[in-house]
Amino acid sequence: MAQLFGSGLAMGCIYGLVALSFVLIYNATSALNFAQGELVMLGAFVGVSLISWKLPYPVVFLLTFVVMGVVGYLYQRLGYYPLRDKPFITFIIATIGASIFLQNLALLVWGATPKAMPSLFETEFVQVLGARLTPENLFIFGVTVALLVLFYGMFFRTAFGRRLRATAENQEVARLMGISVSRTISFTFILSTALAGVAGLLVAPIFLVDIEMGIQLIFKAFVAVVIGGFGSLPGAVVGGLIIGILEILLAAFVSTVYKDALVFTILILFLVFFPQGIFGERVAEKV
Amino acid sequence: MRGARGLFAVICAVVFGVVSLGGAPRPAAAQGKGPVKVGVLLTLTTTMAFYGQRQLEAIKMAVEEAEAAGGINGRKIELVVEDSARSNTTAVNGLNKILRSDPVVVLGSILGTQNMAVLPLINRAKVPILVVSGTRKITQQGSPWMFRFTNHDGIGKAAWTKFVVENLKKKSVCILLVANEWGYSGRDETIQVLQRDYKMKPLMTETYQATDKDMSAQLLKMRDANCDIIMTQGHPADEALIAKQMRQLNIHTDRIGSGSFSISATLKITEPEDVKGRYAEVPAEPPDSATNPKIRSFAEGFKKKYGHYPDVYSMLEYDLAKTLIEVMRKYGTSAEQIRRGLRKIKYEGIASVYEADKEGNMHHGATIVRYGDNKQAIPQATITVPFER
Repeated sequence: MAQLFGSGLAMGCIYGLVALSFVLIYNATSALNFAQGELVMLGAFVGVSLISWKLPYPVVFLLTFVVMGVVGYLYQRLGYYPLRDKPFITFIIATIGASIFLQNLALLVWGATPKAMPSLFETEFVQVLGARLTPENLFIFGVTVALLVLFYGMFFRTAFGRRLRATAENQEVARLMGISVSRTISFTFILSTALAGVAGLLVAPIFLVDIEMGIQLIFKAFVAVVIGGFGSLPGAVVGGLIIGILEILLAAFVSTVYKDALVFTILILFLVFFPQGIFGERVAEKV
Repeated sequence: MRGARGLFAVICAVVFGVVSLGGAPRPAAAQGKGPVKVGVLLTLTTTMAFYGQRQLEAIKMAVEEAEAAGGINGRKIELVVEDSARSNTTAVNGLNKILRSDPVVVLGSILGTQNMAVLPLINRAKVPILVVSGTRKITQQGSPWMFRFTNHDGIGKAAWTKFVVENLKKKSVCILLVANEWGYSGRDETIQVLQRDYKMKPLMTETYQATDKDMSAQLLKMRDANCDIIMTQGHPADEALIAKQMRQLNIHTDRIGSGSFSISATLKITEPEDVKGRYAEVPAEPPDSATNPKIRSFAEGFKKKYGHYPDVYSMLEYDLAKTLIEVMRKYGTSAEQIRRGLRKIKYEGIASVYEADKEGNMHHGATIVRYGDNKQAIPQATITVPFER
């Protein structure tokens, strides 16, 4: 049981990080970025390439963050900026196109064969409460907690965080208050994409890196966002953890065949009976 | 009003034009002039691309060799290549596009679900389709146009079940499979052989979705149920992940994988300790570590040409292309002549002697390998199944 819980928690952290990056863009633009999974995939591929150049892991981590930040900026300039005055559905459709584009770009650059990232640690496993966890699992958990603390501090303890929250709340009023909305949105894309890249880098050593790895992650992250409360940052992470643990428990004790169907049934139940999620507001209209 | 009439006339002209073109006589290719057109529908993109891309290399190698030796009685071979990705829709669209170029034969995808999806089109077009695809059902649909150049699951799963029960003396057999036609085909054939030949039932059967990345719940259940051996029927990336996760979870239960476990793309993404001591059921000896001189020589030639070794499925694809070339040289190049020729021919290829049974299966054997220290496959048993022509 502890083993299952440990694996589920690690997976939940990844869902949580992807959900968090998803919500950041949603809050800034009121639109859903369906290419977020592919940004995770891109981060993983960038990480695998950097590792293959024998760079130390902290440098790889930092470089992935920076490279993905640049990707986020370009994504915003090329994908969002030209469509910012169009109905939000236009951007959503554009993100689906971007998702296909990024998958094919990765296919062109890295090829079709999945890549394996070598283990980051010498130790093969760590015994925690009777569970045999890989050090990568614990690392994922540690990095997620650290990033959450960092994000919480930034959002609620800095002037920049206030600008981000104000933009998310009401762009018109934020503009009237002297906030540069376009710059704030631009920064949100950078932050969100870099976060997605980090999630990809974290998940790479425990999974394989392939061009389709983002699809499942984004679906589960979406469910996490709804369960946690649409638009809520802590909700995204809590939702991710719930999905990660629920998924593995369903597979172990109910059915491996219908595991995903059950997770999506929970999504529907939440939308019908508890649309505000755990931390959020009513989402009937948004969804 | 006049504009509307004009538009109507244009639409009618286009519709009648299309209809009449459909009934037009076939172009020169099918009548014995110009190059022989061969359709190729393979998984060239997505995570299944490492099958398709290597298969295409094998086909091109066979075609180049044939053309260097005078082609098909003086005619060149023109490949009309389309990608089937990992989607049945893409496969059907790809085949439609290929059929528009009027090929005399189609070399199809490795994915059983795609072959099932394109079969109605093939039957309607009356063009043979030659595949390296193990899913049992594809040759059981009553189509005279389907020919398979690998062992089907009825052979492969009979071989691995025999090996597991008789050679390894396992009693508690567990099956882990991907939830699609390929996985179900392997599971059903294994269960059938277990019941029919050994009066046994699997202790546990678990599935995972093709997109799943975490199989720890299934593996832990199998460990806790004290399975003697885990038989896995998955795609290459899943087979590699299972190997990796078994090591991470400290599960030392014996394991035998499907042919996907043997291909170079799978082995490349696993550590030596992930595969050491594990078994795989393969249609023939994997060329990259083969001891058979014929296979070895083909593998070295392939590596010299493309810079990497072929896997077992690209070796079978090469044999498929060579058999087809031989059939076209001997029996003619129309779709019907090729179909009849495939029924008659007995062709000795690199990996096997190819001969059609009444369903259109051309390859009737399986090999069990065990992985050594450096991921080299060591043959353990070879099984050939008798068949009726």
